[in-house]
Amino acid sequence: MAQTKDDNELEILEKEIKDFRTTFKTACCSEPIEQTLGLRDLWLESISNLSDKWSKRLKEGDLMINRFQEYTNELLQKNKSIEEKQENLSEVLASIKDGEKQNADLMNSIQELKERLVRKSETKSQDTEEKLERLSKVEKTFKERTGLEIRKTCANHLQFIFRCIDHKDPDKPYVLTLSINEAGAYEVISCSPSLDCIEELQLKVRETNNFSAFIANIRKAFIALSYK
Amino acid sequence: MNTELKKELEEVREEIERLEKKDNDASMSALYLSQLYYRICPIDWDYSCEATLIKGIHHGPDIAQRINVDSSQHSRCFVGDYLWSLVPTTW
Repeated sequence: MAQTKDDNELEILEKEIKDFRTTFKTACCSEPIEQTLGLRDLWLESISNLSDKWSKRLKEGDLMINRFQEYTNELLQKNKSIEEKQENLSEVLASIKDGEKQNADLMNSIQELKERLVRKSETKSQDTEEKLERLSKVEKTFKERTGLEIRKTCANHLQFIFRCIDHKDPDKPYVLTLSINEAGAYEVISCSPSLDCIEELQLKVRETNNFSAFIANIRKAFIALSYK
Repeated sequence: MNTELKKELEEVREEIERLEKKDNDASMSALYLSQLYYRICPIDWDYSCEATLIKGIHHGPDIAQRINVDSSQHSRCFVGDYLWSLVPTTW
């Protein structure tokens, strides 16, 4: 009987302990734990949101930094390009200035030469005219008095036209055409009227280079022919 | 413009050269002829005398010889023959 009472008391105690435990657990543990869990979930959610937000901001920041870098590079390049263009411009301007100076020099040169040309036309021709007149007088005197006319032909030969050979016909021409060949020797191109001694005379003048005697002998031969 | 100016400059230079050459050519030709006559027949003419008188000096190989001929008194052929007689035919 006492043991049964003890057993009942023990059961009641155990039950009370259990109840107490349950109550304690409920009162002191479950609610705070749930609250804490709830807070933890809220905090996690909050953290997650912030992370997303900051992650996004970070990416935007990176983008901005990249863009900034790009703009900076572009700016640097543009500055460099501007510097180069300024240099080119300076060179072009210098070149234009040179060109203008050259033009001015050219125009001065042209003006000077034109003035020189005018002066030359006025004076040189007069000098030349006088000189030509003197020389023409010499030529005319020789031609009239010696009866010998010297002409240059189109083929660059020299023609010696003798007149006053035939006393009966003083104006009758006796013509010798002469040239200098490639070897630099006298060469009779033609003789009209022809002379038998022409080859001999040609040889003699080549040997002696005595042109005066050559012409004098030609004349003498023409005179001899005119008597025949 | 530079090219045109250079072209104009060149043209003016060429014109000057042409003028100089023309004058030179004419002078050279006349001078050459005079010298050739003198080489054949070395006579210094006296131009100060009367027109009918033929005066001068012939510079022969040995001696110089005065010339004094009245062309009004002689034929052209005579005058020519006389002057040519002063030119030696010996080589």
